[in-house]
This record gives sequence, C-alpha cells and structure tokens, in this order.
Amino acid sequence: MFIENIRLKNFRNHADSYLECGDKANIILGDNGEGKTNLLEAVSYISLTKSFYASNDSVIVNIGETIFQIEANMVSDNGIKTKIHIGYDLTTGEKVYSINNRRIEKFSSVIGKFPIVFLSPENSNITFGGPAERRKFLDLVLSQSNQTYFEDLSEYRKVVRHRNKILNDAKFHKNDPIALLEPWNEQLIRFGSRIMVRRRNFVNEFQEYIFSAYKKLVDLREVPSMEYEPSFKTGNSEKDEMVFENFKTEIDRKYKEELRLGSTLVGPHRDEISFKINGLELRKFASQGQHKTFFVALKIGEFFYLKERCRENPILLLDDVFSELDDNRAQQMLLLIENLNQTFITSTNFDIFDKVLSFGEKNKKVIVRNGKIAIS
Amino acid sequence: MLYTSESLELLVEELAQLPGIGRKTAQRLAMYIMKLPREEVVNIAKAMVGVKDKVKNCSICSNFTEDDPCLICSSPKRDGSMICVVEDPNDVIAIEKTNEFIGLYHVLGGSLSPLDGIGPEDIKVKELLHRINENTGEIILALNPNVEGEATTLYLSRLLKPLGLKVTRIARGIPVGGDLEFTDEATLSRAIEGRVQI
Repeated sequence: MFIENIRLKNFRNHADSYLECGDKANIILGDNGEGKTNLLEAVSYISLTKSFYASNDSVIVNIGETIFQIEANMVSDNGIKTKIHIGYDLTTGEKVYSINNRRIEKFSSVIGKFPIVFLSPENSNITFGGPAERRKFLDLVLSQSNQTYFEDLSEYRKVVRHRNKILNDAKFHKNDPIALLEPWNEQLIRFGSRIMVRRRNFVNEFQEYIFSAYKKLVDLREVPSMEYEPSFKTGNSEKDEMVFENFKTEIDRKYKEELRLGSTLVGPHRDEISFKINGLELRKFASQGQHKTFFVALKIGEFFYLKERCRENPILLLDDVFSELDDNRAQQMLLLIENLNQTFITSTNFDIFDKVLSFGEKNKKVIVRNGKIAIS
Repeated sequence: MLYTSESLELLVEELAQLPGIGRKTAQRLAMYIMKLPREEVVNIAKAMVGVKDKVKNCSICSNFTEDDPCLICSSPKRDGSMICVVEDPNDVIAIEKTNEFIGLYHVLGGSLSPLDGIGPEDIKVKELLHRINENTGEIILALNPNVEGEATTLYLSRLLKPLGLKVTRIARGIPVGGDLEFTDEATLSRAIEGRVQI
C-alpha cells in the first residue's frame, strides 16, 4: 500500500496543501511548529479514521474554519487504486469517510485496510513506561490486523466504564450491587476473555517477528522475548474456554476488593506484557541502547506482522526519530527502512538524508513552512 | 446584540435546544418561520402544544397514546400472551411496520446505563413485572444490540425466567438481502455465535 497523493484542507495549519508522494521515502523537513507532523497525522487519520494525537476531531480544524478535509489516492500492493475522502464539520460534529465516492457507514470497517506503523520518540515509552503503553501497542497492532478484536475492545471498554460506575456508587452508598452487576459481569467476561485469548496468541506469534528483526539490528548473542502476564492466572491449559472459566472464578474471588476500591480489578485492562532480553526484564535490567534496539525491533516486527495479516505493506510514519540518533545509526536505520515500503519521515535536519538517499521519483523531499508544502 | 429583534433571538435560542439542531440551523429555521403566513405558524405551534397536552403514556405498555389504554393494548385482535419488550416508542413503530407481530408491547423508556445514572428503577421494569399474569406465555426481548441493550436483556431474563415464562430474544446477525462476503466480521462472528439448529 502506498499513497500516490494527498490533499489537506483546513487540516490543522494546512489551509490547502497538496503532496505528490514518492512510493519510498518522503522526507518532510521544516522547523518546529511549521506543520510537518500534521502531514503524518493526516495519514494516520486515513488509516485509523481518527487522529493519532487528538482525542477530539474539533481541535484538528484549522483555527477560524469550520470544516477540514483530507483527500488521498491510495495504491494497493497489486496496483488497485482507491480514492479516499474525509470531511469533518465542526458545527454539526458530522464526520464523513468515503471510499471511491461511497460513504462508509461503519468506520471500524476501514481499520486494517490501510495499515500503518508509527514511530516517534514518545513512542519509546513502550519499553520504558508502564503496562498501559504496552497494551496500547498490542491493541493497535491487533486492531489493525483483526477487526473483531477492535470491536470487542471498544465494547469491553464501555462495559468496564459502566461497571466501574456501579462499583463506585456502591462504595459510596455502602450497598451490595450484585444484582445490578451481574448483567455487566457476563459481558465483561465474554468480551474480556476473547481479548485475552487473542492477546495471548499474538504474544506467542510475535516472538519470531521480534527475534528476526532484532537479529537484523545487532549481531550480539542477545535473545529478545515477550511474555503475556494477565491480571489472573489463566491456567496452563491452551484451551480458550479455560480463560473464560478462570475469569468467572476470579470475578467472584475479587468481588469484595472491587467493592472496597470501587473499580474493576480483573480483566485485560490490567494485563502486563513484559519484554525480556536473555530472560531478564527489559524495564529493570536493560541499557539505553538495548531499549532503543528493542523498540525498533518491535516496530519492524509490527511492520512484517501487519504485512502478513493485512496482506498489504504498511505505510511507515517516522516522526522526528532521526534527531535522536547519531549519524551512523541514522544511516543504518535509513538503509533498513528504504527497502520496506513507503515511508514518511519528519526531521529538522537536512544533512543525513542526502548522504544516503537519492531523490527523484521514488524518494522525495519537501519543506513545510507555516502550513504550506514546498518541493525542495 | 446579535439580532435586531429580541423575540427572534429567543426563537433561535429555543430551536437550538432541539437535538441535532445547531445554532446555524436554528437561525435558518427561525428565518423560515418569519416568512410563513401567520396561520401556518399558529398551526405548528398548536401541533406542538397539542402533543404535550393530549399525548400521554399508556398505563399498561407505556407507549405514547391519546387514549388510555392505547389502541394496541385495548385491541381484541392482539395476542395478549406475548409481550415484546422494547426500549422506546420508535421501536414499536418499527416492529408494527412489519405487520408480523400480533402480540402486545412493553416500552421500557430506555436501557440500563449506569454511566448515565439509569438503573432498573428508572425504566419500566416494575411495570413489566406487574402486568405479567397467568395469560402471559412468552416475553420477547427486542432491545438494541449494544452493551446497554445487552445488559438490560440479561437483567430482565434473570428476573423473568424464575417466573416460569418462556423468555426469548430477537436474533442478531446478517441482514436480509445481505451478502455473507460483505458482512463485517463482528456481525458475522455474532451470527455464528447465535446459530440455530435446523
């Protein structure tokens, strides 16, 4: 999959920007705050039907305007073209997503059609930060590769919020809400165990992807691995029904504690996924360099995983990744991604790219200044 | 002042309170009303006040009605042994359009939604239990296929089953005239989950 061209209208600070994209590297240069990242945001919007950064569509509309639009022409790996049009109206809150001039009724059906892999320095919290960051990583990969997962996840989140409300009210009024909770428990267990089974299977499958990516980056005798650590023991059995059964038992067992704390303590929203090198936990024992390598390996693994599952090469979005790397590492990284697929790279630095890439049809370089794109 | 007339401004304000109508649409509607002949405006106003004055909830099924009990509840042609439970009056209209269902309805007036502060006492659950008698054979739960509707379905089935009633729910799945290959995965997986023996 690659983007042939993209037009942004009143999207962030881009009043009307048009970009004819190269099918490999697209280097987006410019100073801070000029609107480089907004281009990546628009690409992520096409893929996920919402912004990567903003939780609210209204902030994306250019200040003083009421409607933002994105138009893009996508080309699949086997050459089929797709026309995308997205529009959002601030005054009515209405959002329209159409593919080949046909309005999409269910936005979730788009996810996974145009897979992306996103890298930014804040992203590196996946290895440094708390378990929520790692769950987010898993959710994004799984949602793109499995539509049912995405829908189960959004239902599950709603159920947890309703359930927490009941528990919190009960904590406040000191009553026993069991009759009110039961219908939500059933859904919590149903959606929750489906999510858990998929996450567990994913972690098992993903090991080899991360292993082969890691090997490409360093030739040390380091063995990376991942482990799925759910909020309760799912038993040794590989059987999916066991997760369901154990979930039920755990809900009963934790009931008193949930009442005391007023929130849901059991389920995939409390999962941990631990990363290891040679069996030692990355978060506790790894060096900065190992963290970085592990992070890049995760992302490359994600690329190949999505490529296989979505049967389409994902588009890579690299936001300001190169400022963190020394010249040598930056060149290595560029050589590595150059052959993968279309990539959008934002940077403030001009020098590194000229050394490695030759610009023309495949690789393009543009400068963004005050919401306008100029071909360099 | 934004408008040159206070009453015009008031009208825009009031119209903008309606669901799905923003300030711009409210303004457009207000301008349109301004241009209408006086008697037509009076007709609109009368119709609005009329529904408030005349329409009430049926004391049996809670559906909107002018006569109590409503036309459906008082009809001798309807099968009183079946009660179809729905969330709101719109759902009754939808099912009535099919001309397939000959039983009675029960309008809950919403679904369980703790986040919105809606519990069993805020919807017509008690009223449903009240109207069940020896004639009642089957309760059909026809609530929306979202987590709130599902929670309500589960809650009601737990209350109703011990009464020895036949409790059913409407099927979820592939729309009629639809194509399997174009059905989204989530709907398809629910349809497989809810498969029936033939």
